Amino acid sequence: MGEKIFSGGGEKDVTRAIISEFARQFEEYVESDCIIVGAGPSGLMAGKILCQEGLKVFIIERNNYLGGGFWIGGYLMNKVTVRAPAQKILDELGVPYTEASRDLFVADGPHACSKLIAAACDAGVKFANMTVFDDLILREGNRVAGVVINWTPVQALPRQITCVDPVALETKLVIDATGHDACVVAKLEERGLIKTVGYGAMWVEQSEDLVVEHTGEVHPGLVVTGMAVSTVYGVPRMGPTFGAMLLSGKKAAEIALKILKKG
Amino acid sequence: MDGDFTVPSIIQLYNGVDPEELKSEDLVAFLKRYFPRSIINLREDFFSYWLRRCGAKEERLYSLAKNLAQSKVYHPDKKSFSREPLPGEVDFELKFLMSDRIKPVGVLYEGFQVMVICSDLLAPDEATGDHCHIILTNQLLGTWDENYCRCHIRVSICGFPSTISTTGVIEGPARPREYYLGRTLSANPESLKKAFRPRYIGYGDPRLQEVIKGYLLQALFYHITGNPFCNDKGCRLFNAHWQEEMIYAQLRSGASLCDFHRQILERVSCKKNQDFK
Repeated sequence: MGEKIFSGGGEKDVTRAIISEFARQFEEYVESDCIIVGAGPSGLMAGKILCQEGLKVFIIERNNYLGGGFWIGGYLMNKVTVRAPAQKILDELGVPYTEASRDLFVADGPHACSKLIAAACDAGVKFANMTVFDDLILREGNRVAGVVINWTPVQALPRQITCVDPVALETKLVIDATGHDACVVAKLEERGLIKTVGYGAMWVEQSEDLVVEHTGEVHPGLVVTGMAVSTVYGVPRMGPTFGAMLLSGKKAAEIALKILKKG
Repeated sequence: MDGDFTVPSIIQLYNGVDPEELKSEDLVAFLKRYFPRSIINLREDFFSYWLRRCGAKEERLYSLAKNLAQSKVYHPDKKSFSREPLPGEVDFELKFLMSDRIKPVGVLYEGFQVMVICSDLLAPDEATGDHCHIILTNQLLGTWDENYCRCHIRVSICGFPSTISTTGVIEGPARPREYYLGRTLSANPESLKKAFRPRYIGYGDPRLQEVIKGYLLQALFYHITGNPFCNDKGCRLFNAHWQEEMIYAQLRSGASLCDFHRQILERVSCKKNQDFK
């Protein structure tokens, strides 16, 4: 009998390794500098930059997979487009692309998305995937001070079967990167603290600039980025092009840094 | 059309559009040809000009930004919908009021509300009938249409001041029916653009320059007579609802005013009609 490929270690060791490492990280991130809700391109981009600046960032993602819609360009076709100058971010990430027409670039969705996820991980972002945002923690003056979360499957099942209380994470700043749902802002709206109007019709040629320009702090302690911006401010949606998601994430990070430095 | 009409002594033309998109000097020369006795002043973007001139304080700037944010049309199918703007919306307006950057397009503003906001900025010495203020903007303006019960994008809002929107030229008048049919049938957008390009004005279309001239005349006729429009489809004052109508009125060879409006202009300008071609 030849030599075994893998070293020893039983089931109990594997389970212990998972539990202890998960618990250690989870406990560490019960308190952080910034929690980003949504691991789509804008959330990943914001997280990557904030971590590169030395902040402790935790991204909450309700799906098992990270990347949001960045895997697929639109209509189930896995080519993603960005318009200039967002190709510079693809350059930074090391994503190959071609110029489809003047200043419009097309890249492979899986390649672009995996590189962005890897860049966020390399920068030090930690993730809680399969974790759903449930509510906000509000402090004096209704300042956002954290998030309440639960496991995604818990929320997916009927309440009588899964009556599981959520847990809360404290942070200095929350970024809503939940796309058109704008889930975090919606919780403020439920409490009458903000009023959004819903996103406008698609207008690719114009909406990208508006999304980036409107990216910012929407309520004390809460920055909004990506397509959530469109929902909050009623600006046109942009369809299958991702440049504004990347640049909006970058801008959200810059604004977050300013807020955190001030605080 | 009866009455004593007076041509404004001074036409103030504000160009807040990218110079690549509209050549201001050419527009001034055009106006000069039609209104040779008027002084035509070419000014920068309306808000930049008046905020600089009145030395706007922080408080006034904020209130102006808030009013602009409040004039956004959120639901084109609702006649009146007003709400307290979010701080981010006010910041967005403030940012562009305080800089020379051209505001990106995409937000639809209620045209008459914007007119009131602009009118309030005019200094008393220029808020007279002797001055005709015309604002050129890239922003989208709309007004409520009682017939269709929805807010329609407009090319121009005639008033005091009048505003002409370059994006309104592109997005306001409807494109040919076949274009929309092609869109519904999911035809390739690029092929559609190519096929229908001669029949509508699109972004970056050099024909925009000439089209705007007709709308300048409409603004002037509104100022002089109170009616900017003409029912003659061949007159540059025709209120086009379709791109093809607009192209016919503004761009066909020899596009000009109809006889009726030419005569009015002759009467008020004491000029012969060949100058009004």
